[in-house]
Formats: sequence, structure tokens, C-alpha cells
Amino acid sequence: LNEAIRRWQENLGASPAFGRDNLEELASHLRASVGRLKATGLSEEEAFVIAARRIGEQGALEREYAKVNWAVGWSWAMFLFWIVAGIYLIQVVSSVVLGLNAMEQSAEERGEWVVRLVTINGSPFLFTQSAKQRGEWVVRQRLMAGRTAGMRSPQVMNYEEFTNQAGSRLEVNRHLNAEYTVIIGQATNPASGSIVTPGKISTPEGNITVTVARRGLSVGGNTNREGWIAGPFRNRSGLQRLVGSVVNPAQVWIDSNSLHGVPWLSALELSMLLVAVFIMGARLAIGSWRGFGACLRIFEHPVRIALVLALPGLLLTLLPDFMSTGIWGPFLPHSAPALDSYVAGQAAVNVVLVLGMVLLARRGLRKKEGAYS
Amino acid sequence: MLSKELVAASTTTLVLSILSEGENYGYALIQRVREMSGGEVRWSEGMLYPVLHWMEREGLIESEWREAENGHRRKYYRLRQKGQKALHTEKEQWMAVHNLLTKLWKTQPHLT
Repeated sequence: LNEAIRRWQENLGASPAFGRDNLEELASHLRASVGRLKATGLSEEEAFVIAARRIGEQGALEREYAKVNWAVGWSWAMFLFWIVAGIYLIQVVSSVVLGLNAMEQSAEERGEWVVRLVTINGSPFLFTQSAKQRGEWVVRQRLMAGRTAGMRSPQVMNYEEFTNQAGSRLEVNRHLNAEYTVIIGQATNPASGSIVTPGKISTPEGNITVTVARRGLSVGGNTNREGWIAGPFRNRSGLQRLVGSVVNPAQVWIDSNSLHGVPWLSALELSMLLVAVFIMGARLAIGSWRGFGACLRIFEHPVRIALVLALPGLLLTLLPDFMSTGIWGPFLPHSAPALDSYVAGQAAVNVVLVLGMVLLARRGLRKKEGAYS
Repeated sequence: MLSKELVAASTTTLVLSILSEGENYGYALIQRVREMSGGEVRWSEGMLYPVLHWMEREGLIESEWREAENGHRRKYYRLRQKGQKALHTEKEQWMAVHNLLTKLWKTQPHLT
């Protein structure tokens, strides 16, 4: 009987609608009911089957318990859940905006970006679903496949490629058409031809000290023989200012507008897609649409809405995405694998965010459990 | 048997009334209602607990896990002061309906 009750409890416990306390109480009820039925002459098996049927069908029980347990209102766990969900939304948006750079590029490059976006945004879904099936190796295999497929980054050129293309400004500009992933390898001192590092550079116009102009503008401080600035670029106006002060400004022109050429209709479709991905992510984390609806109750108070909207922006500054481009940009290794580790890193961040959402949602939805015991 | 709607509407009042006699656990509450109503009022067994939890959250009742004679744990519920007040109000309201219906049905001829 104990084993049968344990299995019955396990079956119910798969639903987030029930707390541990609820399951124990229902089991206690089941035992009492079985005892009473056995006293009428039924066998233990018969008594259990009848008692389990009398206690109610699982779906109906789940609905009733969900009404009580998920009427969460305010809780810190639920508050944090929406903060994490907000960061997740920003991650989704930023990764897709990054991928828009590929819209003006070749079909091969667009294909690579599709693989990257699927890897970044699809990994939480793959991870969570696969983990449920105890098949974590599937995730590893798929992530590896995605990463390998996206290994050759269209934005990366080594020094040889860069210098070879330097004669054609149009070609170089096309490669620079990215917000912050332009990384060109080692460069040379235009006067001596030797390899230089960020710091003081001697040019025909005099000595130049190249530093990071401001946060968000990451210039490696290298120049090639023709005076081109090389390094990871972040900001168009900032770069022009820096270039204007140290090199011939006529030599450098960079179009860094990520959203350039995106029709309004596509932007609308994209927004709808992003919201859909976000809602699916939140739904996945919570486990059911009913729970998702219950989580929305936290927004009944305007102050909470304001806090939830404001805090993701503040916490965003702690994310690897922001730090890598805004703060750590000058220290990024100038090589192709670094960019692919960026994709893998973003995918990992998304997985962590969705897992955080799962934990917080479960905690938030079950916050009343302690009050029963 | 009473309709589902009437059973649902009277559940809180019935729980408050039984608990006003003394603390009790879920299964015993169900049995007591069934016996006292002669089988007219039948609660869906598992559905009572969410109601009890809601009442507890509202501060009408409180609960405590205790060990029963058979060694298993049981959760006992008892009335709180707010529950006693609520029972008083419920009594007045149900009596008002009862009195009204009694008056109405006394003044009308029987259909049989």
C-alpha cells in the first residue's frame, strides 16, 4: 500500500500545482479512506483503487489546487522571476539585432547567422526539454553542432586579409558593417612596418597615443601601413571623432547602423517574433499557461511594474554581453574562436536565465506552502 | 442529492460549523457531512483541501500536523477567531434565506 501511495504521490507531484504539504495531506486522506474501505471487507488493492478514484481525477485536483496555490500576488521570488525574465527578453532582442547585420550580406553569411541565432535563443528550450528527458547529451551534441556550423565568422579578418583588401575601401567597409564585432588582427606601425600594440604609435604626422576614447568605443589602437585604424569598433560617431583627431578622417568611413535597411514591416514581424519567443520562454520556465497567468498577478501594483521594468536595465550592465563589448572590448582576443565563444557564451547565459526563471517561478508559485504546515 | 452549485456555496459554512464543534481533519470532515446529511451533501473528496487551504489563508482556520493513533501524520484544522465571526455572519445570512423561503412556501399552495 505504501508503495502504491508513493507512486500515486509521485504522479501528482509532477505537476507544479501541488506542494509537498498538499501531497502529504492527500496521502493521509487516501490512507484513511483505504482503511475504512478495507473494514467493509475489500482487499487492499480494491480499497486503494476505489479510494484513489474517490479522491478525484488528477486534472480536476490540479485545477483546484492551482487556484489556491497560484494566487500568489506579491512574492520576492515572483518579483525576481520577472527581473530575470526581463533580462532574458533583452538577451533575445540583442542577439537578434546583432543578427540583423547579416541581412545585407551573402546567403552563406546569412545562413551562418541563422545558426548562431538558433544556438543563442534555442538553447534554453533544447536544454530544458532535454533535461526533462534526462538526455543532457543531446544538448551537448546540438550545441556543439551549432557552434561548429557557425565557426567561421563573417566579421573576422586576419591581418593579411585586411591589408589585402585595404586597397578597396568599399570591400573593407562592407566587412566593417557590424556594431561591435569587427576584429582585425595585428597591425603594423605605418612608419616602421613593425607590429604595434595599443599605446604610442609613431606616424609620419607625428606620435599618436591611441586609447579607448570612452566606454563603448573599443579601438585596439593598431594601424596598418595606410593609416587605417584596426581593432574592435563599437561606436560610429566615437570612432570618427577619434579618427579625426589622429589620422586622416577621409580615409575611414564606417557604417555601423545595425538596423540599416530593415523595412518597418519586418521590424513589426520581428517584434512579434521576439515577444513570442519571450512568452514561450516564460511559459517553459513556469510549466503551464495557468501558472503563467498567475505570475502576471504581480503586476497588479503600479510600483511593482515600474521596479520590474527598471531593474533589468540596471542589471544588464552586469551581463557578459555588455561587459565584453563595453568594458572588456579592448581586451578581447583578436581571433575567430573568440567570436564563436561569444555565441556559446550568450547561449549559456540564456540557459542560465531560463533555469533561473524555472527555479524562481516554482518558488514563487509555491510560496504559500510553508503557511500550511 | 444537492446540486453542485449549492454544495459549493455551502462548503465554507459547513466547514466552519463542523469546526466550531472542535478541531478535525479533512477525511473526518467529509465523513461527518456525509453522515449528517444522510448522503444528500457529497463533497468531491480531494476538492475539499483547496477550500481548507483558502480558508486558512483568509485567516478563518488554522492547521497543525499531528501523529494519529496508527502512527501516520494527519493535518488537523481548527477555527480561529475570525472564523467564528465569519460563522456568525454566515448563520445570519443562511437563516435569512431560510426564513424567506419558509415564508414564501407557506403562502403558496402545494403543487402536488
